[in-house]
Amino acid sequence: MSTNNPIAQVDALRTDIDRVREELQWVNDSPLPKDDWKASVTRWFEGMSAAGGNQTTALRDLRKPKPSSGGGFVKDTFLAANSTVHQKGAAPDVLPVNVRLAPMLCWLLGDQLEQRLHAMIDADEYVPGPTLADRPKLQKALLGELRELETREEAIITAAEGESVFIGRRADADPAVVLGYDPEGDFLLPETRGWSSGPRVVARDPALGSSGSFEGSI
Amino acid sequence: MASYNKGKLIGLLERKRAAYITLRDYSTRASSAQDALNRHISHMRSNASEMTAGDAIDRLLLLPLSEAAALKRADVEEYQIQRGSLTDARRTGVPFGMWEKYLSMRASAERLRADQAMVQGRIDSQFAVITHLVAAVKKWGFADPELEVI
Repeated sequence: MSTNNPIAQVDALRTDIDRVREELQWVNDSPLPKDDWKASVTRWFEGMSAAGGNQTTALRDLRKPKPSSGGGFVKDTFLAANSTVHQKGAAPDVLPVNVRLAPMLCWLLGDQLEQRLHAMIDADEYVPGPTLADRPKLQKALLGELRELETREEAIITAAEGESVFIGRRADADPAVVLGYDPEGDFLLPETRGWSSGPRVVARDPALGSSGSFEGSI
Repeated sequence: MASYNKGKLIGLLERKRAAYITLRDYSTRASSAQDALNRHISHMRSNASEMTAGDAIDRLLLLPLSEAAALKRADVEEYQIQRGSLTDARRTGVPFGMWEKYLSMRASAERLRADQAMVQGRIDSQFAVITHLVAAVKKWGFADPELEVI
């Protein structure tokens, strides 16, 4: 930055901060690449298929002369028949049923369905974001850059205040940066949360004491 | 030992408090100016009512300030009523000097309201971060710093 004008410097930094935030949002929310998308679909099918195929108990129940479900469909897993939907006009002794077909369909026809969905994914045209594996690394790098920019912004604002130039802070400024929060310490441990041993405040503002700082328990 | 720059936050809270005291002053002045203007308008209406010219003056009071300021003496002190094919000029009962005072008071009240809105906007944007700072400090486990600023 070539200018010495703190307002211009802060404006320039805020442009960079906005850019980094947009990149961060893209890394967080952008669509997965096709391989990750397919893997996600496969995981979903595997979960559903496992739920639909977990029929041993229900199947063996039907082996009994008098099934515990009272005949017909076994409650719970077998065809996932639950008594929640009432049939209009049904006799009072007819149990209402709620059949969840997805687990059974995935169990029976999962491979075909999955192939169809993968074909749909292949045919889709979109701009993918980074892979799931790359995202944590990118997020960390961008968060580091954001932190550095915000720290520089706050340093300029604070220095300007020393010269009686007041620059408003962004409403969404990181409180940890503005207040120089240092989380290193033991106050988050449950055993140290008591009033007598809680976090201590370090006032670094020279105006608050002749020694330039003071500490106080909260 | 966890820490934060408490002195800085207290300083910001004190600046915010001082700014709101300034805003309160703007608000008081704007409110006083509006009250004085309302009293003057009542006085004008009372004069006009005595001359059965209340409606005529009310129409003038509804004009935007720029149009109201462009009125000539005759526009204020007289109004016309139609009687068949004849037009009759009547007195409104509001002297032009009283109208000029009204214009001056109205301009002052509007300017003070605009100043108040501008200061309010500036304060709101400049100190919007403080709410988040105080919330963060409490979330970090420290005492409420606002209790320390009286």
